[in-house]
Amino acid sequence: MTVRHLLGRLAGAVATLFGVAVVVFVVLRALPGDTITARLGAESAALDPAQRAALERFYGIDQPLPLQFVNWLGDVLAGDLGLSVDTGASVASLIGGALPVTVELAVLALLIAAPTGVALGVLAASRPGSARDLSAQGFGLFGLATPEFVTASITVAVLASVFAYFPDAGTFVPLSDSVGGNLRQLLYPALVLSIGLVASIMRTTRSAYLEVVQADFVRTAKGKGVTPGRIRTRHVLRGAAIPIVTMIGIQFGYLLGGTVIVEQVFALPGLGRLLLLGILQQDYALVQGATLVVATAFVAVNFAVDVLYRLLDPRTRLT
Amino acid sequence: MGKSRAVAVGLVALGVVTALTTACSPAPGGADSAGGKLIVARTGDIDLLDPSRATAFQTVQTMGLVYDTLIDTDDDGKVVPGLAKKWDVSDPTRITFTLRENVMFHNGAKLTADDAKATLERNLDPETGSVVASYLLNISSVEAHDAHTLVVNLKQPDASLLTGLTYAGNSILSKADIDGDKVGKRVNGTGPFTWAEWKQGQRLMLKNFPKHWRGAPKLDEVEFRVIPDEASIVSGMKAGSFHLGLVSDPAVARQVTGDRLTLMTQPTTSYHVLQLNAKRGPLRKLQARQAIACAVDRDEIVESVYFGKAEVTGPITSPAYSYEPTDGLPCKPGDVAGAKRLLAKAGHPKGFSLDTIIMIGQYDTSTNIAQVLESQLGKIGVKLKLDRQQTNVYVPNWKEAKFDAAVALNGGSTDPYLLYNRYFTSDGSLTVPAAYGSAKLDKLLREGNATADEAERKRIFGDLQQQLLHDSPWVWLFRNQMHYVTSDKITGFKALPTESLEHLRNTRLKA
Repeated sequence: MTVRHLLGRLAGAVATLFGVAVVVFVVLRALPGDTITARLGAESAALDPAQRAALERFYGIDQPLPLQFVNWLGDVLAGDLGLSVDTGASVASLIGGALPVTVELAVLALLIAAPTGVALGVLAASRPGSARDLSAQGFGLFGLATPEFVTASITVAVLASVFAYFPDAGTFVPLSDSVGGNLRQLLYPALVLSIGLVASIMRTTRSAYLEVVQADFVRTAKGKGVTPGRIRTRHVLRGAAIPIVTMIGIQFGYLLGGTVIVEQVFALPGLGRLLLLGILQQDYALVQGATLVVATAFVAVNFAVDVLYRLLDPRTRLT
Repeated sequence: MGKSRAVAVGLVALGVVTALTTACSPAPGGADSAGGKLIVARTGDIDLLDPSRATAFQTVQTMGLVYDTLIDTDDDGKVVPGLAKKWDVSDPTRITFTLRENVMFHNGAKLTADDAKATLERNLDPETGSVVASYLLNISSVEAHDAHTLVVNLKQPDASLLTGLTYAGNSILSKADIDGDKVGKRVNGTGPFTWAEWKQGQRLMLKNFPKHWRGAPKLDEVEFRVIPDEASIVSGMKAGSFHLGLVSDPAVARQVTGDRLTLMTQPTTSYHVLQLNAKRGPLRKLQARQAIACAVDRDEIVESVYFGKAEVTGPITSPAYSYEPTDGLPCKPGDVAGAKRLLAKAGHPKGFSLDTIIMIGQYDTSTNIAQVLESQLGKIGVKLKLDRQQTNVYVPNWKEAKFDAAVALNGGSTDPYLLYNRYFTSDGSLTVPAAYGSAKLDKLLREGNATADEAERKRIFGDLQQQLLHDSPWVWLFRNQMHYVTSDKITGFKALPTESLEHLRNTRLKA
């Protein structure tokens, strides 16, 4: 990879992030109502004009929009994501608290889903049309078709009713405090998330595998007397790796964007919940800051996937 | 991967899951004989630290535990002494409050009349953006005569002011905090619990304030946990993770089962109502509105949406003033034939259609209520065209009366005047969305507020209720419910119509 190529990618990333910032800023303001209506609900209708003006000043929404944007962008470039007005908490600290939860949840879900999905995919593809293929495909359909709020709610209800257990995440235990305590809270949500991930990874693996297994180099390897197990892992799977890695990368990016439903049901203080709350309360600084962080993460993951391509497939190194 | 290996991996994974599940179920309370920590689960966190601007239900509830007000309400909603141990209204335009002498702020300073004066003046200042300012409009000046005597001068007699002073928005702040611009940044009240630790979006810890003027609360600590999903709150209660769970969705409350849990259902002063716009179309006609009010079978809505557990109400929802809920309507609720006759009298024998707005996102039952109303009114040919709107869309439409009908959940009060002065006095702040006004209603409201005589007020507000039912500007349905799930580990907790959690002061954990 050349330095020039790297710089090009970096410029693209910056342009993407700027675009995201503009779009989020505009969309948030285009929503009907404002912070005051969002906060006070029907009570906001009873405010007299002087009170409303005072609150607009308080929330910083009395200034012209372009000025609001320039001020915000200037602060961001200086490393300041702003304050969540009502509580005075800095947006950076709120995101700093929520991001690790979401990242850990995403990593854990992928750690469960990637090996399982690839293994199931290979298993299904190794004998197409067989019972094992059909059951793997059936699981794939179930995993993709069942919404998370169903699996999550059922998991919570069953754990509580049958095992008298609640993944007690009201106070989140960071990994650094207690590995056991942390896993206790994150394992079940990660399992729930992994169902859909396993399904999509499995399906991608299966179709990629079936395509590669007919390639000439596989026949050559067979002819050379390479054992079937070795052919599967060293030859076919490596050849099929690119779509699989792409799929995992995309899924990971989405997970980083916040796993809103799972975080709601399991009461995990992650980025998805923070973002949802910010949107409901029209806390502009919070939503803008959090989206920027999510977008950055997405861009970074894409970049990492790009690098992985080059390691996995020598042909892509030429570009 | 060989088959046996796969099976082995599976078994290990299952083992880990089971071990994690069984080994570590948290048991709150710790069976401590004295005090202990009570854990409350609710769906939202507090949203700000300034009681003057608190509207979110969690914030109001929490502020009520760390701050005190001059006046309290008892369990029936009647005003009783708070930080003021007595008040004198012998001159109805000049109320003299005598404050308690043994009251301390959490930071150790003593409460004086200067603090109360500074608080009321701050709330009157439009700059504060206080949500209780409208209850204080009759105040012309506030004087601190000595350390414990506060005099409030009024422009005219205002009996409801006392109830206004019970609201969390009128929590008494320290003058030093107001002057030093500390309000909203740190919490320093005189309430039974002190602020200990807040992790935004996750948990809030309050500690016992041993020097509280009523004596120390029984609990050492109260911890509020944010569990956004109500079904998860019930699951957590079943698993024994919380002592008290707050739930609003009646369908979720039904899932509370088992002998270790108790469900308390408490009607609040908020009420569900079908607001009609008497300034538009056929609804200008009295009989058309009355026909709608008659065709609505309130019991059926309660049965199908609230599983029979809600209290049908007329306009007055204050528990201290109870009247027959539909006494004043020209016919019995659910009387389809009578409703049709009224429609014919109004000149619309075939009915008409109404653009109906419904707020979604704030409470769970709005759509269900609207659908039952739609089918009931369909029987007399009145077609509700339902338009479900998010809060931020609904509120501006509601505020400007851009609707024929609105399915609403309106906030209540323990004082009948405060329930309706905003809507039905000629200079109220919400006369536009009320979309109806009459000299009679205005007069009744003003008369009711001009006297402090309870019997007289009861009579006047009874007339007000009958008049409102007769005029049928809106169709009143039933009081809102709050559900409190309690574990068998706690005693002494009581739910209140004001949704206040003040009885946590008297709650104990069983050893």
